[in-house]
Amino acid sequence: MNKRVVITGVGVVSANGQDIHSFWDNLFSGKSFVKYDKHMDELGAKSKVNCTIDDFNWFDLSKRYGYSGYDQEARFIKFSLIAGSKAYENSKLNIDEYDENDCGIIFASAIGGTPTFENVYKDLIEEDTGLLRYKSIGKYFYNAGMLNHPANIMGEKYKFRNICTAISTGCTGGIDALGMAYDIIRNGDAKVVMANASEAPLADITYATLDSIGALCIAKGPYETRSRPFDLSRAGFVIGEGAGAVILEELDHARERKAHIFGEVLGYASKNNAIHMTDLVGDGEVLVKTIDQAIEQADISKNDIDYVNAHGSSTKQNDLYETKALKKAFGKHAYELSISSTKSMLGHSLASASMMGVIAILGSMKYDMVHPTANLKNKDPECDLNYIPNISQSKIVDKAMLTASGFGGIHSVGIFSKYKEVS
Amino acid sequence: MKNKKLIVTGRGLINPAGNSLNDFWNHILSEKICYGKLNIKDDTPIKVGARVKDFNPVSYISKRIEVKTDTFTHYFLASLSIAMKEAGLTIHNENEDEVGIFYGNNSGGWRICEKGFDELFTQSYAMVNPWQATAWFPTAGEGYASIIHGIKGYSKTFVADRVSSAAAVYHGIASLQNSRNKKILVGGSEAPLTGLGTICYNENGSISNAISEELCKPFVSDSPGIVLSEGGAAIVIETSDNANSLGIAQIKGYATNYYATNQVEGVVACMNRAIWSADLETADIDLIIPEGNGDWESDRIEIEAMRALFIHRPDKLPIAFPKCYFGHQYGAAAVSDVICACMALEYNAIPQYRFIDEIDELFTDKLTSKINNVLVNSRTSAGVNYSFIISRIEN
Repeated sequence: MNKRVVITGVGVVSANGQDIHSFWDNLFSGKSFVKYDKHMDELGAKSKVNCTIDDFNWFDLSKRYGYSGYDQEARFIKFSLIAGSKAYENSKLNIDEYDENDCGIIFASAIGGTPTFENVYKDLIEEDTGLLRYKSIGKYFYNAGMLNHPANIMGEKYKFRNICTAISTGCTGGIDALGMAYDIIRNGDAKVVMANASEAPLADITYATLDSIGALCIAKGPYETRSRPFDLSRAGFVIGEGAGAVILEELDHARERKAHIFGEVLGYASKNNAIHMTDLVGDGEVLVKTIDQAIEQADISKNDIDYVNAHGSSTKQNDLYETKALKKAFGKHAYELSISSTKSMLGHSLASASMMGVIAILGSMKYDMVHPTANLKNKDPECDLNYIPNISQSKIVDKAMLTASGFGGIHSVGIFSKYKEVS
Repeated sequence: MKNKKLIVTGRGLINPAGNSLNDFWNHILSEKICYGKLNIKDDTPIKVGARVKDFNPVSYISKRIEVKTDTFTHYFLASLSIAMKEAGLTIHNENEDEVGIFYGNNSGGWRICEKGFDELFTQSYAMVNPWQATAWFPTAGEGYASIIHGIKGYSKTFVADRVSSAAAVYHGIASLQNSRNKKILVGGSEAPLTGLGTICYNENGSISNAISEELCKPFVSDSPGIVLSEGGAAIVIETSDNANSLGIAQIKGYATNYYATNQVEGVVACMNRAIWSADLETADIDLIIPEGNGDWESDRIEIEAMRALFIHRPDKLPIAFPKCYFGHQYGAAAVSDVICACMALEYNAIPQYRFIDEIDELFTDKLTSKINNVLVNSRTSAGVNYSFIISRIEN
């Protein structure tokens, strides 16, 4: 008998808020946090916008959550630690009460400490010879590349002795970490697993590589409107940063300690399209299969889905591919779904983006409200579903789905539900 | 749901000790030291390491894919095709959704990363090559493997220090046990032997800074540290009811845990759980392939754990240290060790260890009976542990 898995803690570090209530409020308000970046402009990047977290105060937060000694660590690690600690605190888990052998952590990031690599390279390269000249840097350099480091730190802090690992699955990382945590608890191998995803990719090399394949946003118009999923004038994704973490818990364990339950995870699936590393070819068939598999695992009807937090990256190909997949998967019900893109306001923070989407879903189920797709003024005729343009809508959200797609040709889907005593 | 019988049906590796199973095993058995001076142009504290030799990527992948990918991906894709060939596994419409890839890599594409930095900082922003975006991140191995072979099943990439491919094995097995897949391709690869790559690894504090071919001495207190290595390794694991062949070995037990403190206790608990999950007793273990990497800080914990677990054994415990011949491949290391376990079962032989008299008296490098069950450990200095029991296939 598979175990039921619920979410009992949530933490977020995002451009629109570093507590879940600000995060949800700002999403519901439809406010975009995308802005002009002078450095990108001076660098010669085709894209001039990003979505940064300007008020992340590591000095205070590290004191507040007991992370002194990690000042040199890469930014994605710091985001991850704070989001993780917020989720843990929010779950009200008590370190003296749980069996540490039943608790674990899975972390996800796509490109980890790339900015650190870039800075070290610039620091070590000799202009005249073009060769690297060694000087002692410190363990933080290695930690920036080895993605298990945040999981190690939090696992030690909270005495999690079960699974402790990290995955790198590009832009589906957050939902994949959650999906793996879900499997582990569902199969009875752990009772509590934190799924944590973080990204701080803003570096010259990131801009240059993504620009070179035409992935970054070159849309015109006011800077804050340039991430515009499903709009006819959409023109690439806006790079962002941030971290999200959730505590997944076996239902009986959560009930026993009277934990607040934000929602239940009903299903998860992930597949490769096996066609192209970045291009989405075809009519969304592989995403359809992924949706079908997740719905089947959730043991619900497709018509039960009320809301879809879409990958909605604002690239020409993704939004069309995703629309086709939703139509194919849901048939007529596709037109009754409420669909929105969190990236329209926060940009695309790679691995952590789908975790932001999960947290947005939890807010929608809590408040029966779906956040809008910002900047959707001129709908692409081929993207003709209900993407909740610009203004949030009241809607009973009992069941919701998250879709994510990423480099490497990976598609992942999660199914969530309001918690009910009997499923 | 842990009742499915899991068998290894294919193996492949690209290794400093050889790029075919036979070459690799013969070199290990003949105690050939497969590392030497690296001769990296940049100023790096790591002077000695183990390089793959005589490897031509286009023997395994198209020129087009070779250009678009980094060395670490070449190693994985080559290992994978060797393993798939041995398993007789081809992907087609009927099985494309039932096969998954589980891949470990610790640090992505150093060669292409340095090329990108060079293009960016010595040429111009617009000169950065377009392959950079999909070649440098660890998921490239999984992505290209799925594209080349048409694999669409549940797949994941793990970045977890020395245990990256151990995590891939563990979670790949979980995907078989919970019916997400029927067959999995599991492997890992690493290619860190560049200027920036070696400097990065040096900063973890465990890598040998020896300036000559000073020998890596696992389980010996004056070992110079880990010899940094490269390469790839892959195995095919199938549930017995879905396998096309009888298989090479059985993965009978597996476990993981994380003990940041009390690390000895953690290693004991992990080995114990793996043995328990295989329905075996400690007395049933015929051979251990430990993490044993030559970093004394790590090795002494493992020795103490083994002593605690096997102390009541009446005879000495056979042990093998493949890494002492070809170094530590990080992302590929655990699967290389699993392949060594399969080879030891197949040939009932283990490599000798020239420092056997210097290590704890609990261990021997002589076999006293037929090998039926091999315990393979993989662990990080932070305290993440994996243990696997690789066994002779029962009729």
